[in-house]
Amino acid sequence: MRRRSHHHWRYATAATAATVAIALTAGCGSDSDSGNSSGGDDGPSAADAAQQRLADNPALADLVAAAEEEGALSLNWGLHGQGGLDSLVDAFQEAYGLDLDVTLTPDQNMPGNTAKLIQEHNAGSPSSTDALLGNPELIRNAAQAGALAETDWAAVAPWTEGLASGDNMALSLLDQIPGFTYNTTLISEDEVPRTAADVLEMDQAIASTPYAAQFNVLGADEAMGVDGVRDYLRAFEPEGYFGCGELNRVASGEFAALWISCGKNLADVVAEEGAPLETAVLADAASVSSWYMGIPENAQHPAAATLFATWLVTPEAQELLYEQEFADNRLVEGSRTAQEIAEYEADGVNFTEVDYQFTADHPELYNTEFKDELIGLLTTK
Amino acid sequence: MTNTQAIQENQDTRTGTGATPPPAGQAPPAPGRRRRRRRPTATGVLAALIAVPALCVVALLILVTYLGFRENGSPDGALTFDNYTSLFGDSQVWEVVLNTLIYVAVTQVVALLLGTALALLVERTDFGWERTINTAMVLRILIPGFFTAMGWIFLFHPRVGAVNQWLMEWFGLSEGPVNITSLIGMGFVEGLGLSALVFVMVSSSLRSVDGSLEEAARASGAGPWRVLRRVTLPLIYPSMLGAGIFTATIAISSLDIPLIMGLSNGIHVFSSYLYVATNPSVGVTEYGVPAAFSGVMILLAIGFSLWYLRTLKSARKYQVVTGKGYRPARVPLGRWRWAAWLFVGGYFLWSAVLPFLMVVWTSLLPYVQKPSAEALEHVSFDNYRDLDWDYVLRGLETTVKLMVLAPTLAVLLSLAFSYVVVRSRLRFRYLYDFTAFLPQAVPSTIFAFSAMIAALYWTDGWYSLYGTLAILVVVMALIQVAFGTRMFNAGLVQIHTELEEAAAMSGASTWATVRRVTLPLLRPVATYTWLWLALLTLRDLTVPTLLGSQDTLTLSVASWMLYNTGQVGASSAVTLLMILFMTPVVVLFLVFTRGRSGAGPGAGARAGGPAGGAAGGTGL
Repeated sequence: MRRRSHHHWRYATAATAATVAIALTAGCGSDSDSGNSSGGDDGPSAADAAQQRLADNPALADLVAAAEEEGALSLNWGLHGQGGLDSLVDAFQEAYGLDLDVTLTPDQNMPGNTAKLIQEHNAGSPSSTDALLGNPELIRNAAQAGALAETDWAAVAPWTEGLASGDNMALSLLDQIPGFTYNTTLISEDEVPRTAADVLEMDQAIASTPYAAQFNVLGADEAMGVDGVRDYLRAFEPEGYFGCGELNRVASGEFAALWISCGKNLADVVAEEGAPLETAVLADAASVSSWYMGIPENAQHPAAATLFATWLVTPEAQELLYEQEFADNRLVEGSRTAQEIAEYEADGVNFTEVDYQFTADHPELYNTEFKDELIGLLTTK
Repeated sequence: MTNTQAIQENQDTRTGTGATPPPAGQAPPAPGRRRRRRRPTATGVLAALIAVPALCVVALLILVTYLGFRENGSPDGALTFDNYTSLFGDSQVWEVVLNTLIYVAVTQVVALLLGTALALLVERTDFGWERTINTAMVLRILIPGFFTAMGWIFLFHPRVGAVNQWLMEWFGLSEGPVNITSLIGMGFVEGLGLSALVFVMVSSSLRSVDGSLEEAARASGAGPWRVLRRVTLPLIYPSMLGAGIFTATIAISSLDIPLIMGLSNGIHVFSSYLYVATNPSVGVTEYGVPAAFSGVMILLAIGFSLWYLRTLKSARKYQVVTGKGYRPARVPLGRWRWAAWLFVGGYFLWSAVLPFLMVVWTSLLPYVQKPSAEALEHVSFDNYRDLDWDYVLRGLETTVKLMVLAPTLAVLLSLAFSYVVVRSRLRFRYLYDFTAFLPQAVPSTIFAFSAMIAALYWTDGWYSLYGTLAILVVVMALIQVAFGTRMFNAGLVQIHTELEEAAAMSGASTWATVRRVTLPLLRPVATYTWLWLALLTLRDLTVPTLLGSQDTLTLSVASWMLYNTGQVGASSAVTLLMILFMTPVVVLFLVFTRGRSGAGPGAGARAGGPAGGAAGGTGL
């Protein structure tokens, strides 16, 4: 009996050892990789810039001290570039000389995260993320539900001037250019639609998002108008639905295109890996949509989160952000997204600027009934 | 024989002597000495202790029902019937109901047909390879559902499925002939996985029934098909009924296949409907209608369980289980052997091997591509190298903790429940048995949903349970008690009380009797149960998805999140790593169960009742 049980353990031990060895090898490899990516030439300049900002800003110094005191940062955030948020956090820690215990969960379900945050706030529970990332509509929903804390961004970070929402509930992070993202092997250049109406004529398998992303924006008077977008969605029949981050499904050929995609930068991230993806910005349905960051009212590490959010809109962080996400904040000096927008505009494209204020100014486009109606028109055929 | 019958028989045996022996481990009172105050018995104390988990199970179900009557399903919402009005008036909900029915029906048909056919082949023909097929089927049960789902999507997606693409190329078709992302396809893939469970339950039952009845039929001139139809199948009817009910419960509970195959195609079944309600992609969370829906499901599940238990009771007419181990003569396959090989080989090829190979292939690519020379140029280990290892190791850490803690708690609770049910003479002991069985019948999604709301609203401060490992462990253990109690009930019934009574008569205390006699005899059952539950914990996606947080992320959730955000290659890589991490436990499990015929969840079914499908209660 004893001998047999030794056998049991020998098999199990051998299998465990093999498993652990593989995991450790892979894990170690990863560590060194991330070390390389976070280090390099960007570190010292980012740290220098941070030190300069700290030198004559006691409020910022206090915030750094408070972040250090909190000792941790937890983010349910979905960026799309490979290791994007990891390297940004590493650079942030290096810039301020912090050693926070950071937990990053690459959850790209912004609506889900927002709904969860509001629910947690209503129940009086600590929030599951220290900072909320979302489009203007979601961030505004969270703010209106009282789930976000008002922050005097400019007081601690003067460089954020002009980047915060009017009510100081959120800070803009980057801007995306939604469009018609397509598989270049399935749709040739001459087949690429120029207008929203052209999309209706296409016979390839085109997908959409199950939440009718950006279609409500087309309901603005300067675009199709409310009735116009209703008619449009009655005529548009997607072959399937998937989230904005799942552009692999266009790359694989499962669908020929995604209309409306949340941002051309998302396709650029996948294309960087060799995928045959491109995005066309359609002249009559163009918009620029901002992503915002807000600090939950019941965040467990609000100082660390505030410090991180303000750091993300520094020029050096924005540069890193663009390298990872192919998008940055058009309002920050040196923005490459601003440059792209300018080029499109030079070609005659007029963008609807979808920011926090836009959602406040267009309640008719953001009310639940209208959105549900659009989702119904899009998904029920 | 069912648990209830076995327990009853055990009780009858004890009372059949005319004397009423004292409860196990308790010495009879000395003559002439009367106690003024009755001291609580050991089983009485145990019964009081397990009242806590029993109440937790019942409370979670009551909570969901209660939320169905609150505005927006919020505990502090106003009292309302609107959720039920909306439930029955909402066409989307009816669509979900219809989808769920179709999905479950297809699952049942596929699982019962394949599982029973394989069991009959192995147990009633001269096909051979009994041990190999048994082992392979146990391994098949342990393969996570989302792994198979991904594999089948890569094979049979109408546009990107490799087989469909090849068929389109070879035959010039404009579209793929097979659409696995349909409701039928989803049911088929779920059924394929559950056929292994049906196999284990039915083959276990086939081994136990007296084969002399079949031989008598044959001797009377009945052909193999007639014997099968008129004798064998009626004999295994209770286990097939049990298997049917369990596969139905599992199909309703499981999230993996509905999420991976259905969500992006707009196909919702009950579990994914509940998931979307708690993780909306638009608007705010709406718990009211899902709670009302869950309330209806609970009522149905309880009614179904009662019917099932009654059916088992009335199934005494099928009670031909003997202890003789009598084996019937096996039907020679003769010239049909090739067809049997084709069936078995095809089953494993399509059910496990090809999906596995496709997941491996996809894990080496930046995006899904069919195997081709062109795709070979993109093959690399980038998905593994670029994995966020902090994320993966975090998932692994939680998974390991869960795999240790949840089954351990489940085993302890199950042992306590079973001891009270089998050994005590308490009037309400069968109520405990029924309560422990409830997580088997009610979809685990409902328990997770209820626990999430309870933790969110009613735990705060230092005792906050929301998003913690503790709540995951407790809820998983409560759900697993269904399986554990079936196993321990069967195990305890087989240990005659004479042994415990002898120890008691020799002056051993109750605790000493349990420690020195009962527990050592139950050790194999406990080890088996623990290992099985640990493996099911690893593969579970349902409870961690609904209850987990970023701090309690498991490997299965990590893989799902990557898949859900379009990182299919990375998700495949994590899934394969998960299988790798599973290997040591699987090896241990297989080595432990080597030589124990009927290894698998059906082992308990043979000894009595619904144990075989208990995996359902563990979110299989």
